Amino acid sequence: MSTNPDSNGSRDRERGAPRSGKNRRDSYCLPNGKMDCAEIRDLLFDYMARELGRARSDLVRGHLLKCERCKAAAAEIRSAVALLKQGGDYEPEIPRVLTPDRRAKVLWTFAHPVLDWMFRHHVLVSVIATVIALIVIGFTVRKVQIWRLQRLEVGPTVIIDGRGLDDRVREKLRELEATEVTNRPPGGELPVVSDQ
Amino acid sequence: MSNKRRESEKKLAFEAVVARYEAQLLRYAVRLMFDHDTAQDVVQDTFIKLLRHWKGQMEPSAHMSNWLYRVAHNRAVDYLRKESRRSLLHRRQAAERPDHTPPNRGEGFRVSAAAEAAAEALLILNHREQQLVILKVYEEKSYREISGITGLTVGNVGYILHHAMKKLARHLREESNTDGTKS
Repeated sequence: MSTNPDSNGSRDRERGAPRSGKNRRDSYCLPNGKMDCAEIRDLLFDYMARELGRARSDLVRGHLLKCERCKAAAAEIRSAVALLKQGGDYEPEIPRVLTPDRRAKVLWTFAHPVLDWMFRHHVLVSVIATVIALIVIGFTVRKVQIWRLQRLEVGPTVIIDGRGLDDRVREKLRELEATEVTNRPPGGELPVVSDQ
Repeated sequence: MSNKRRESEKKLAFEAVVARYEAQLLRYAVRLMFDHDTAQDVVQDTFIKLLRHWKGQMEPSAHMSNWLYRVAHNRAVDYLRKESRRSLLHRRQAAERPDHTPPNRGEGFRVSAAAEAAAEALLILNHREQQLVILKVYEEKSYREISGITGLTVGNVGYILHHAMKKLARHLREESNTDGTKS
């Protein structure tokens, strides 16, 4: 028996071409010279499933009336179908609807396509999130380092624009300006004052 | 039309599709897997896949029906390949024991001996043959519809079904011979 449905067997069946080789030996009961038993048996299930055209159905029906062996083969197939049909008696037990939690899951997917995409691509999302987190951390650390270096290198330079100065500080600055400070710090600059 | 209204219409259309196909997909999946819980999972995944991948109009059609059956079948086969090898082995081992009790197939799953026998008979077929037999015998689809679902040609559908039924008939004959010998 060929296991490949694409083999010549199926194409022959479609064309209704006669079988060749050893299957022909089963043609002892040719009823009308048109089809032999092997070919009729190939059509038995199609016949029962009402998938044959009228001409071939008539041919199979006529053959079954005359050939006991093919009739027995048909009975076997019929009993197999009956067994399967009997198996259908648990149909009332089969649920007709999805369980509420599964239905909710389906509707959640409908309502949240972006989150659904993220869940589906969780590996990619995790990698991207990790890269972004590393970039932010690196940037912050670098900023803190630069800020610390600036504080260490620049020294006591004070830039005051005069707004919001404490009154006592403002008074002290005026005093300094008025008395022309003589005691400048060694190597240092006077504080830059910009009072608007 | 406002976005909100459009969204609500889309949701209604999707719910209509679910209502239209859930019963038949569940029936198909249960027959294929003989297990309620996994069948529910398969149908849930099928509808989620519909949301993600369906490009056309969200309304019931023959094309959508074929697509849903195909997706459900592929999902069921994936599941069976991954999980059921183990459980099948357990089931067979259990069946060989004299104090065999029917396997747990999910809550509320009660079947007759005939249904068990039918399921056991289906197990002798491969996944493709099981699919075609279920679609033909239980779902009563025509060869053309089965061809649309499976992507096989009509001729191939007939060919595979023919051999599947022959296999089942031979299995039945052997079973009855064995029973005859025992008695």
